[in-house]
Amino acid sequence: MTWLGERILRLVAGRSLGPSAATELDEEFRTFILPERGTLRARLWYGGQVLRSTPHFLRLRVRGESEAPNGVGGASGFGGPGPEGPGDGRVRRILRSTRFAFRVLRRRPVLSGAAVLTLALALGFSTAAYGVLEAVLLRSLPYEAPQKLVWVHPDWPLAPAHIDAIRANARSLTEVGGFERRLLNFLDGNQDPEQVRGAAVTANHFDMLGSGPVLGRGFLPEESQPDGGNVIILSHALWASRYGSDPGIVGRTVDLGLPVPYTVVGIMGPGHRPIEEDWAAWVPLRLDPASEGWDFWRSAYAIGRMADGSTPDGVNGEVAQIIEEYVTRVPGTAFRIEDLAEARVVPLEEVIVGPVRQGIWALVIGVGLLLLIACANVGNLLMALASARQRELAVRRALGADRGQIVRQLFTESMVLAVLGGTGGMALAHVALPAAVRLLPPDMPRTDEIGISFTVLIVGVGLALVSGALAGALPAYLQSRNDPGVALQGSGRSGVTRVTRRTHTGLIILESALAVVVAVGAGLMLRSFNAALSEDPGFNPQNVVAVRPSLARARYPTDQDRAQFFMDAQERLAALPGVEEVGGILFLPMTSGGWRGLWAVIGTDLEDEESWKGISNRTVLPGYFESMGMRVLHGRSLTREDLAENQVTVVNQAAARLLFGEDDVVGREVTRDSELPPRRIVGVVEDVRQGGLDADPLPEMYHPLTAEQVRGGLYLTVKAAGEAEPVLLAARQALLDLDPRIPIPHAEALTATVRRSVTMREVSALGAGAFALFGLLLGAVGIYGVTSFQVSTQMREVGVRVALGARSTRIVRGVVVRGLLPVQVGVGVGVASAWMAGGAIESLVYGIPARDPTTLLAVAGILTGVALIAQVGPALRASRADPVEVLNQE
Amino acid sequence: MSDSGVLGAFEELVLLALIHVEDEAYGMALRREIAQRSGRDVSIGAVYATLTRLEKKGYLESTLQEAPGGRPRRTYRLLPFGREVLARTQELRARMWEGVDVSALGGGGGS
Repeated sequence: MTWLGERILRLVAGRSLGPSAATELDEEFRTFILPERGTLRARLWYGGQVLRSTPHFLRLRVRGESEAPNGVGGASGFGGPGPEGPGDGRVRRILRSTRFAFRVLRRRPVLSGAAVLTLALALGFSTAAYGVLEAVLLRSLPYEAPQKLVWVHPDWPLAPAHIDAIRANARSLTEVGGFERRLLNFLDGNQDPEQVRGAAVTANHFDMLGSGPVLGRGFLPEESQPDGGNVIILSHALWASRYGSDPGIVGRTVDLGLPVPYTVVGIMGPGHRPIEEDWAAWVPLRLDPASEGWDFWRSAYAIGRMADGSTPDGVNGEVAQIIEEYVTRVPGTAFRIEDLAEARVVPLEEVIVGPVRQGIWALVIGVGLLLLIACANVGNLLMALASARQRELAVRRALGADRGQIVRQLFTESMVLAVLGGTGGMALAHVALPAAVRLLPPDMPRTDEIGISFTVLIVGVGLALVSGALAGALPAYLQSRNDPGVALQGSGRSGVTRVTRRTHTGLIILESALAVVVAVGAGLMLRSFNAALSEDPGFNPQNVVAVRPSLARARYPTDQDRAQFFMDAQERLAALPGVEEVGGILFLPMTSGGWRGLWAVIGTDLEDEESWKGISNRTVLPGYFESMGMRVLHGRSLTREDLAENQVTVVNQAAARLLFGEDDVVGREVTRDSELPPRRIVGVVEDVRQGGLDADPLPEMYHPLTAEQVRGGLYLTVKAAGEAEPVLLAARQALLDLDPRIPIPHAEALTATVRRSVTMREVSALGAGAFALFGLLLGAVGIYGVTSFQVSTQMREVGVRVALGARSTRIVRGVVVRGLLPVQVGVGVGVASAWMAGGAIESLVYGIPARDPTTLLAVAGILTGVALIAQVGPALRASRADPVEVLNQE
Repeated sequence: MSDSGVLGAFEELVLLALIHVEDEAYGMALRREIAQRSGRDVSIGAVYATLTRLEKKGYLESTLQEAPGGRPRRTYRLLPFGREVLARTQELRARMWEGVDVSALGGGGGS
């Protein structure tokens, strides 16, 4: 907060006084106020100092410019800003009308307060939304020439050999680097054993990104050779948390639980942004020329830097050709060429921020609509204010103020409101944005970069000024057109012209339409979230916990050791009190991870590439389906006996349909490699939403655990008879009893995992809901304001009607019907716009149509209801009008 | 306003504070001094505006110095002319107050 104040202070105090004033205020704040009054009150004090100092500094600067001998403003006796002489400086004139505007606004505190609050909320939201937009989408990635970086084929990993082939042959790429995701265990340092995500990268990785370690060095080309040294580079955060930022760590070895120690060669700077959000350590990627094929367990990705003049499409064509040549030259690489041909070379930026692009734009558009509503609202309030001052303005016109002066004065008033609202909005954004960022899912990209930067501040100020101009333009123009003679005649409806009333009506239509659009968007988000939540995941997460120990290779050197550990663990967990069933899987549903393989049905033409289908593979410990409450639809589940045999598998319904076109496929055989023995299908289970509640099920195959498949470590799934929480603790402890030196990177109730898979939907539903509420509130305030204003101008007429015997119900009905008409028109326009815009948000909506009639109808109903409520008060006031009093007032 | 030689009320407070704080005469210290002695939380802007005005009138002069930490700080020093005006103001005040006993005035005068 204080830096914002400091900026303002520097701005208003100018170059000569600004720096020292800011320094001193800051010093006072830190040394005296903060210790005496506590953070909150000290900050308020700081803000107060800045606000109260601003007029002094501004006056000082204006005087300094004009050097006028008589510095006291000449406010005239009429309470107007006074006549403007030809010699008046422009700044002085502005100051004078600003002061007058303040006086006018202070005289109507409720109205001005409502306007300022409206603008503050809307501008706060808008500024915060722009902050997100700027940090995530607009600001380029912190890499060298980031627009030239591409990710080759992000959907399907490549073999390291393919990457080498691309590097050697691609002309459209000046540089090619590869990486593999890795999980690394850190067993030493000043914390418990811990598993972090990291990557194995080629030696050119950091150079390609244009960043490098701040301490030590990067990787050397020879370290990518099969017998290169065992070296590691740490992220700044990991270095700080685990090794206390000790610079001496460079050159020392760390214990990764691997057979050999790793030597730390470098520390990355705090500003380095890994390709994936949470990488904390890097080791060299070994490009082993001996393994030419596509190794099941090696799944590397390629990053390239485009040559000048090449495009992602061009690179795509070239890469596809290179791989095709390679596959022809080196047969037996299980890699389907069509997958590559349809594969894409995608700008790196797209891979990183692509998934959230649409959501963020939706947010920005939603907030923009809110801001428009707010402007319409304030415009309406200002018109009401101006109409009520009809006489005063008319007097001033009659006394010689020209049209320009009146317009300028009204315009100044709206600008004053905008500046006040803007200041409040900035403060709101400054406080609310970090809080909102904390609510975002941790895997959302670039959230750490979100904040109120200087650009964001400038945009916020710009938005405030534009809002002021928008809100003020129309009332100012209309007022200037009013004929002073009419208003001065002292009768009529306080000089409210037909133009003014039509404009009121137009603004109400606009406001209602915008509110409908915002509320429909929010309704769709809420209903999508709800639809996703009520989706059947394909398993029963109630009372199930999952724990994943990570085995260090030094202690479990062979695959057999690892498999044995998991079988021991299964027995141990099954023996815990309150445990019903224990299974295991790699990978657990709704956690990231998994591998796809190509399978074909025995009996089809294996030479034909069409026979090979992409299927997700899971490794399970028997007991998995039972612990997850998954139904076996045909055949049987897996048993311990299957472990030894290792020739059977279970498919899900989607896989059965993809491979065979039918459901009951028990007894059929499939193969992954024509060289290997085929696997027999013993059962078909129901589909599971592996990717999250709102993701469609994938074709999957469940293989019984075999020794060579446990390298990644299993998730052990434990079904409790009762509450999940005590079992979770007991399971953790049981694993640590088995081996106290293992990190347990995942230990969580399955319900939490499931819930997290829709966090993004939850956040957008909550956010959109808040917007909609605010939008409706604004709409209600606007409608209330206009109706009560209109009623007040019609009091005379109403009085006459009451005097002539009209019943109060008729009067109420009259007011409400007249007020409701523009709202209805607006609702119609809004519903139509929402209908038309439906296609644009198709991909954000889940489980309901983007043009959902229920949502549209509900929103139309709610807005109409809100409008009705807003009109009741003014209508009742009209009906209680005392004719004598009303008529006497004139 | 002009150099007639009598200080405005706030100008007087600022100049007196300047004398009280002696060496530590920068804006914020003056603000604190006034705040402590008067119990009024005056704004730094008001102090600065007055200091600038007084400087322009030739009552005091300022130099830009480095505060601890290398940040800029403007320090003020009373000039002889300023001291003279201050003395004149005190004298004027004393003369005006001579023989006035506010408590003896009674409450009827329309407070």
